[in-house]
Amino acid sequence: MTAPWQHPSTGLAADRVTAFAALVPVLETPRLRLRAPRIEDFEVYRACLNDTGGAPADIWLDFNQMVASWPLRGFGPWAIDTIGSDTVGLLPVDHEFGDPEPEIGWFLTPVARGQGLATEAARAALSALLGPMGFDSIVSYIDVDNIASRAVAERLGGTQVTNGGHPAKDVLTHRYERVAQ
Amino acid sequence: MIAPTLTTARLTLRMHTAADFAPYADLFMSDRAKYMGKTADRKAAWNLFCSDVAEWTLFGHGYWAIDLTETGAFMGQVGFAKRSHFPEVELGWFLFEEYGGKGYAEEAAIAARSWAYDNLGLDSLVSYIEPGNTRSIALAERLGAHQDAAATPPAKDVLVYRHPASEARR
Repeated sequence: MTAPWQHPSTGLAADRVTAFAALVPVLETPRLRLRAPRIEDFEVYRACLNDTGGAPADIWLDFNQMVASWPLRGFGPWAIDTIGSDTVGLLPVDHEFGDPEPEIGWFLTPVARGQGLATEAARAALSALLGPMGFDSIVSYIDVDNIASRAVAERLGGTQVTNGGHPAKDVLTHRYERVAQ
Repeated sequence: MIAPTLTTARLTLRMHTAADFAPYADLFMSDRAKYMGKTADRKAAWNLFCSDVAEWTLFGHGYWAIDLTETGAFMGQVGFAKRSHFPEVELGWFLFEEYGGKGYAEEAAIAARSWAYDNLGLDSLVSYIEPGNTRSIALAERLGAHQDAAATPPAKDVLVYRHPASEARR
Protein backbone atom coordinates (compact mmCIF):
# COMPACT_ATOMS: atom_id res chain seq x y z
CA MET A 1 0.00 0.00 0.00
CA THR A 2 1.60 3.25 -1.05
CA ALA A 3 0.73 6.70 0.28
CA PRO A 4 -0.19 9.61 -2.01
CA TRP A 5 3.26 11.20 -1.65
CA GLN A 6 4.84 8.01 -3.05
CA HIS A 7 2.87 8.12 -6.29
CA PRO A 8 5.12 8.52 -9.32
CA SER A 9 5.04 11.93 -10.99
CA THR A 10 3.13 12.45 -14.20
CA GLY A 11 3.50 14.73 -17.21
CA LEU A 12 6.59 16.89 -17.60
CA ALA A 13 7.86 15.96 -14.13
CA ALA A 14 7.77 12.30 -15.16
CA ASP A 15 9.76 13.18 -18.29
CA ARG A 16 12.42 14.66 -16.02
CA VAL A 17 12.56 11.46 -13.98
CA THR A 18 12.97 9.49 -17.22
CA ALA A 19 15.76 11.83 -18.30
CA PHE A 20 17.57 11.15 -15.04
CA ALA A 21 17.16 7.39 -15.44
CA ALA A 22 18.73 7.59 -18.90
CA LEU A 23 21.95 8.93 -17.29
CA VAL A 24 22.38 5.75 -15.25
CA PRO A 25 24.03 2.80 -16.99
CA VAL A 26 21.84 -0.30 -17.24
CA LEU A 27 23.70 -3.49 -16.32
CA GLU A 28 22.47 -6.90 -17.40
CA THR A 29 23.40 -10.34 -16.10
CA PRO A 30 21.93 -13.77 -16.96
CA ARG A 31 19.10 -13.34 -14.44
CA LEU A 32 19.10 -9.63 -13.54
CA ARG A 33 18.79 -6.12 -14.85
CA LEU A 34 20.25 -3.27 -12.79
CA ARG A 35 18.76 0.19 -13.46
CA ALA A 36 18.31 3.68 -12.02
CA PRO A 37 16.37 3.79 -8.74
CA ARG A 38 12.89 5.31 -8.77
CA ILE A 39 10.26 6.19 -6.20
CA GLU A 40 8.61 2.77 -6.40
CA ASP A 41 11.85 1.22 -5.14
CA PHE A 42 11.46 2.87 -1.74
CA GLU A 43 8.95 0.20 -0.70
CA VAL A 44 11.30 -2.50 -2.01
CA TYR A 45 14.10 -1.04 0.09
CA ARG A 46 11.82 -1.08 3.14
CA ALA A 47 11.01 -4.72 2.44
CA CYS A 48 14.72 -5.51 2.20
CA LEU A 49 15.33 -3.97 5.62
CA ASN A 50 12.71 -6.28 7.11
CA ASP A 51 11.72 -3.93 9.96
CA THR A 52 15.32 -3.27 10.93
CA GLY A 53 15.72 0.18 9.39
CA GLY A 54 14.06 2.37 12.00
CA ALA A 55 11.22 4.86 11.49
CA PRO A 56 9.85 5.27 7.94
CA ALA A 57 10.97 8.93 7.87
CA ASP A 58 14.53 7.83 8.69
CA ILE A 59 14.46 5.10 6.03
CA TRP A 60 13.23 7.74 3.58
CA LEU A 61 16.21 9.99 4.37
CA ASP A 62 18.55 7.00 4.10
CA PHE A 63 17.09 6.07 0.70
CA ASN A 64 17.48 9.67 -0.47
CA GLN A 65 21.03 9.76 0.81
CA MET A 66 21.82 6.86 -1.52
CA VAL A 67 19.89 8.13 -4.54
CA ALA A 68 21.38 11.65 -4.32
CA SER A 69 24.79 10.14 -4.95
CA TRP A 70 24.00 9.94 -8.69
CA PRO A 71 23.49 13.69 -9.23
CA LEU A 72 26.06 14.75 -6.62
CA ARG A 73 28.85 12.28 -7.39
CA GLY A 74 28.09 10.57 -10.69
CA PHE A 75 27.77 7.12 -9.15
CA GLY A 76 25.02 5.69 -7.03
CA PRO A 77 22.67 2.83 -6.28
CA TRP A 78 21.04 0.52 -8.80
CA ALA A 79 17.65 -1.10 -8.36
CA ILE A 80 17.79 -4.83 -9.06
CA ASP A 81 15.08 -6.31 -11.29
CA THR A 82 14.85 -9.94 -12.31
CA ILE A 83 14.72 -10.14 -16.10
CA GLY A 84 11.17 -9.44 -17.16
CA SER A 85 9.84 -9.56 -13.63
CA ASP A 86 9.91 -8.04 -10.18
CA THR A 87 12.21 -5.67 -8.39
CA VAL A 88 14.05 -7.81 -5.86
CA GLY A 89 16.49 -5.44 -4.23
CA LEU A 90 18.77 -2.47 -4.20
CA LEU A 91 22.50 -2.38 -4.84
CA PRO A 92 23.82 0.72 -3.06
CA VAL A 93 27.01 2.39 -4.20
CA ASP A 94 27.53 5.51 -2.16
CA HIS A 95 29.79 7.39 0.16
CA GLU A 96 27.99 7.62 3.47
CA PHE A 97 28.61 10.56 5.73
CA GLY A 98 31.70 9.93 7.86
CA ASP A 99 32.89 6.88 5.95
CA PRO A 100 36.50 6.92 4.69
CA GLU A 101 35.57 6.00 1.10
CA PRO A 102 32.73 4.90 -1.18
CA GLU A 103 31.27 1.46 -0.63
CA ILE A 104 29.26 -1.15 -2.47
CA GLY A 105 26.54 -3.12 -0.71
CA TRP A 106 23.53 -5.27 -1.47
CA PHE A 107 19.98 -5.53 -0.21
CA LEU A 108 17.53 -8.21 -1.30
CA THR A 109 13.93 -8.80 -0.31
CA PRO A 110 13.55 -11.89 1.92
CA VAL A 111 12.12 -14.08 -0.89
CA ALA A 112 15.02 -13.26 -3.22
CA ARG A 113 17.77 -14.39 -0.86
CA GLY A 114 19.70 -17.64 -1.05
CA GLN A 115 19.87 -17.83 -4.86
CA GLY A 116 23.15 -16.06 -5.51
CA LEU A 117 21.41 -12.92 -6.77
CA ALA A 118 23.36 -10.51 -4.56
CA THR A 119 26.65 -11.93 -5.84
CA GLU A 120 25.41 -11.79 -9.44
CA ALA A 121 24.25 -8.18 -9.14
CA ALA A 122 27.31 -6.97 -7.25
CA ARG A 123 29.66 -8.69 -9.71
CA ALA A 124 28.07 -6.75 -12.57
CA ALA A 125 28.26 -3.51 -10.62
CA LEU A 126 31.93 -4.10 -9.73
CA SER A 127 32.75 -4.71 -13.41
CA ALA A 128 31.20 -1.36 -14.27
CA LEU A 129 32.71 0.52 -11.32
CA LEU A 130 36.24 -0.88 -11.65
CA GLY A 131 36.01 -0.66 -15.45
CA PRO A 132 34.32 2.14 -17.38
CA MET A 133 33.29 4.10 -14.28
CA GLY A 134 36.94 4.58 -13.37
CA PHE A 135 37.24 3.39 -9.78
CA ASP A 136 40.67 1.94 -8.88
CA SER A 137 39.18 0.28 -5.84
CA ILE A 138 36.01 0.17 -3.76
CA VAL A 139 35.12 -1.43 -0.44
CA SER A 140 32.27 -3.12 1.41
CA TYR A 141 31.67 -2.35 5.06
CA ILE A 142 30.02 -5.36 6.69
CA ASP A 143 29.05 -6.02 10.29
CA VAL A 144 31.23 -8.78 11.67
CA ASP A 145 28.21 -10.94 12.52
CA ASN A 146 26.61 -10.64 9.05
CA ILE A 147 27.82 -14.04 7.87
CA ALA A 148 25.73 -14.12 4.66
CA SER A 149 27.05 -10.76 3.49
CA ARG A 150 30.63 -11.68 4.35
CA ALA A 151 30.24 -14.78 2.18
CA VAL A 152 29.08 -12.60 -0.73
CA ALA A 153 32.10 -10.31 -0.32
CA GLU A 154 34.39 -13.33 -0.38
CA ARG A 155 32.74 -14.81 -3.46
CA LEU A 156 33.23 -11.43 -5.14
CA GLY A 157 36.97 -11.67 -4.47
CA GLY A 158 37.02 -8.99 -1.82
CA THR A 159 40.13 -8.98 0.33
CA GLN A 160 39.55 -8.34 4.00
CA VAL A 161 41.77 -5.46 5.11
CA THR A 162 42.68 -4.56 8.66
CA ASN A 163 43.17 -0.83 8.21
CA GLY A 164 39.88 0.04 6.54
CA GLY A 165 39.33 3.01 8.81
CA HIS A 166 35.56 2.64 9.24
CA PRO A 167 34.52 4.60 12.35
CA ALA A 168 32.24 1.87 13.75
CA LYS A 169 33.59 -1.01 15.78
CA ASP A 170 32.82 -4.53 14.57
CA VAL A 171 32.70 -3.48 10.91
CA LEU A 172 34.89 -5.39 8.48
CA THR A 173 36.30 -3.79 5.35
CA HIS A 174 36.59 -5.87 2.17
CA ARG A 175 38.40 -4.29 -0.75
CA TYR A 176 37.91 -4.97 -4.46
CA GLU A 177 40.53 -3.67 -6.87
CA ARG A 178 40.75 -2.99 -10.56
CA VAL A 179 42.57 -5.81 -12.32
CA ALA A 180 45.49 -4.60 -14.41
CA GLN A 181 44.86 -5.18 -18.11
CA MET B 1 21.33 18.33 -16.01
CA ILE B 2 18.43 17.03 -13.99
CA ALA B 3 17.12 20.35 -12.67
CA PRO B 4 16.47 23.04 -15.28
CA THR B 5 18.43 26.26 -14.78
CA LEU B 6 16.10 29.22 -14.25
CA THR B 7 17.14 32.85 -14.42
CA THR B 8 15.47 35.97 -13.03
CA ALA B 9 16.56 39.61 -13.09
CA ARG B 10 19.25 39.01 -10.46
CA LEU B 11 19.30 35.27 -9.78
CA THR B 12 20.32 31.95 -11.26
CA LEU B 13 18.51 28.89 -9.93
CA ARG B 14 20.60 25.78 -10.58
CA MET B 15 21.01 22.15 -9.56
CA HIS B 16 22.84 21.71 -6.26
CA THR B 17 26.40 20.41 -6.30
CA ALA B 18 28.30 18.64 -3.51
CA ALA B 19 30.16 21.90 -2.82
CA ASP B 20 26.90 23.46 -1.60
CA PHE B 21 26.81 21.11 1.37
CA ALA B 22 29.33 22.90 3.64
CA PRO B 23 27.40 26.19 3.90
CA TYR B 24 24.11 24.25 3.96
CA ALA B 25 25.31 22.23 6.96
CA ASP B 26 26.61 25.32 8.74
CA LEU B 27 23.15 26.89 8.38
CA PHE B 28 21.19 23.82 9.48
CA MET B 29 23.30 23.49 12.61
CA SER B 30 22.84 27.15 13.52
CA ASP B 31 20.00 28.93 15.30
CA ARG B 32 18.97 30.48 12.00
CA ALA B 33 17.57 27.03 11.18
CA LYS B 34 15.40 26.83 14.30
CA TYR B 35 12.27 27.12 12.15
CA MET B 36 13.63 24.97 9.30
CA GLY B 37 14.19 21.69 11.11
CA LYS B 38 17.56 22.47 12.65
CA THR B 39 19.70 19.32 12.56
CA ALA B 40 21.52 17.80 15.49
CA ASP B 41 24.72 17.07 13.60
CA ARG B 42 26.33 17.27 10.16
CA LYS B 43 25.29 13.74 9.28
CA ALA B 44 21.62 14.67 9.72
CA ALA B 45 22.25 17.82 7.66
CA TRP B 46 23.84 15.67 4.93
CA ASN B 47 20.80 13.39 4.79
CA LEU B 48 18.51 16.42 4.56
CA PHE B 49 20.64 17.97 1.80
CA CYS B 50 20.59 14.68 -0.09
CA SER B 51 16.82 14.55 0.21
CA ASP B 52 16.53 18.04 -1.30
CA VAL B 53 18.70 16.86 -4.21
CA ALA B 54 17.33 13.32 -4.64
CA GLU B 55 13.74 14.48 -5.06
CA TRP B 56 14.75 15.72 -8.53
CA THR B 57 15.61 12.17 -9.54
CA LEU B 58 12.61 10.53 -7.84
CA PHE B 59 9.85 13.06 -8.57
CA GLY B 60 11.21 15.40 -11.24
CA HIS B 61 11.16 18.32 -8.83
CA GLY B 62 13.31 19.35 -5.90
CA TYR B 63 15.36 22.22 -4.54
CA TRP B 64 17.52 24.59 -6.58
CA ALA B 65 20.57 26.42 -5.32
CA ILE B 66 20.14 30.19 -5.60
CA ASP B 67 23.16 32.00 -7.01
CA LEU B 68 23.53 35.76 -7.37
CA THR B 69 24.12 35.92 -11.11
CA GLU B 70 26.44 38.93 -11.01
CA THR B 71 28.95 37.39 -8.59
CA GLY B 72 28.12 33.67 -8.66
CA ALA B 73 27.67 33.74 -4.89
CA PHE B 74 25.67 30.77 -3.54
CA MET B 75 22.99 32.44 -1.40
CA GLY B 76 20.44 29.81 -0.41
CA GLN B 77 17.86 27.49 -1.90
CA VAL B 78 14.30 27.45 -3.18
CA GLY B 79 12.12 24.67 -4.46
CA PHE B 80 9.83 21.84 -3.56
CA ALA B 81 9.71 19.08 -1.02
CA LYS B 82 7.45 16.06 -1.02
CA ARG B 83 8.83 14.53 2.13
CA SER B 84 7.30 11.43 3.60
CA HIS B 85 5.35 13.32 6.25
CA PHE B 86 4.14 16.17 4.01
CA PRO B 87 0.47 16.03 2.96
CA GLU B 88 1.13 18.22 -0.11
CA VAL B 89 4.02 19.49 -2.19
CA GLU B 90 5.67 22.35 -0.35
CA LEU B 91 7.28 25.46 -1.76
CA GLY B 92 10.17 26.34 0.54
CA TRP B 93 13.09 28.71 0.65
CA PHE B 94 16.01 29.91 2.75
CA LEU B 95 18.83 32.38 2.38
CA PHE B 96 22.09 32.52 4.26
CA GLU B 97 21.99 35.36 6.77
CA GLU B 98 24.16 37.81 4.84
CA TYR B 99 21.83 37.74 1.82
CA GLY B 100 18.56 38.47 3.65
CA GLY B 101 16.57 41.68 3.31
CA LYS B 102 17.19 42.27 -0.40
CA GLY B 103 14.13 40.55 -1.88
CA TYR B 104 16.13 37.62 -3.23
CA ALA B 105 13.93 34.96 -1.59
CA GLU B 106 10.79 36.57 -3.04
CA GLU B 107 12.34 36.77 -6.51
CA ALA B 108 13.43 33.13 -6.32
CA ALA B 109 10.11 31.89 -4.95
CA ILE B 110 8.12 33.61 -7.71
CA ALA B 111 10.32 31.98 -10.36
CA ALA B 112 10.09 28.55 -8.73
CA ARG B 113 6.32 28.80 -8.28
CA SER B 114 5.79 29.81 -11.90
CA TRP B 115 7.95 26.89 -13.03
CA ALA B 116 5.91 24.50 -10.88
CA TYR B 117 2.59 25.69 -12.25
CA ASP B 118 3.86 25.48 -15.81
CA ASN B 119 5.70 22.16 -15.49
CA LEU B 120 4.32 20.02 -12.70
CA GLY B 121 0.62 20.11 -13.45
CA LEU B 122 -0.09 21.36 -9.93
CA ASP B 123 -3.09 23.55 -9.21
CA SER B 124 -1.95 24.53 -5.76
CA LEU B 125 1.13 24.77 -3.59
CA VAL B 126 1.56 25.23 0.14
CA SER B 127 4.31 26.52 2.38
CA TYR B 128 4.61 25.01 5.86
CA ILE B 129 5.78 27.66 8.32
CA GLU B 130 6.24 27.65 12.07
CA PRO B 131 4.29 30.38 13.89
CA GLY B 132 7.42 32.14 15.18
CA ASN B 133 8.97 32.45 11.74
CA THR B 134 7.68 35.95 11.13
CA ARG B 135 10.00 36.69 8.20
CA SER B 136 8.84 33.65 6.25
CA ILE B 137 5.21 34.43 7.07
CA ALA B 138 5.73 37.98 5.76
CA LEU B 139 7.26 36.62 2.56
CA ALA B 140 4.44 34.09 2.09
CA GLU B 141 1.96 36.96 2.39
CA ARG B 142 3.91 39.12 -0.08
CA LEU B 143 3.71 36.14 -2.45
CA GLY B 144 -0.08 36.25 -2.11
CA ALA B 145 -0.36 33.12 0.05
CA HIS B 146 -2.99 32.93 2.79
CA GLN B 147 -3.19 30.79 5.87
CA ASP B 148 -5.34 27.73 5.14
CA ALA B 149 -6.77 26.55 8.44
CA ALA B 150 -8.60 23.67 6.72
CA ALA B 151 -5.44 22.10 5.28
CA THR B 152 -3.65 19.28 7.08
CA PRO B 153 -0.32 20.42 8.55
CA PRO B 154 2.69 18.10 8.42
CA ALA B 155 3.12 18.40 12.20
CA LYS B 156 1.39 19.98 15.15
CA ASP B 157 1.75 23.76 15.44
CA VAL B 158 2.84 24.23 11.84
CA LEU B 159 0.91 26.78 9.78
CA VAL B 160 -0.17 26.01 6.22
CA TYR B 161 0.04 28.94 3.80
CA ARG B 162 -1.68 28.26 0.51
CA HIS B 163 -0.37 29.97 -2.59
CA PRO B 164 -2.68 31.49 -5.17
CA ALA B 165 -3.75 29.01 -7.81
CA SER B 166 -1.86 29.01 -11.05
CA GLU B 167 -4.25 31.33 -12.88
CA ALA B 168 -4.13 33.92 -10.07
CA ARG B 169 -0.37 34.24 -9.73
CA ARG B 170 1.40 37.37 -10.68
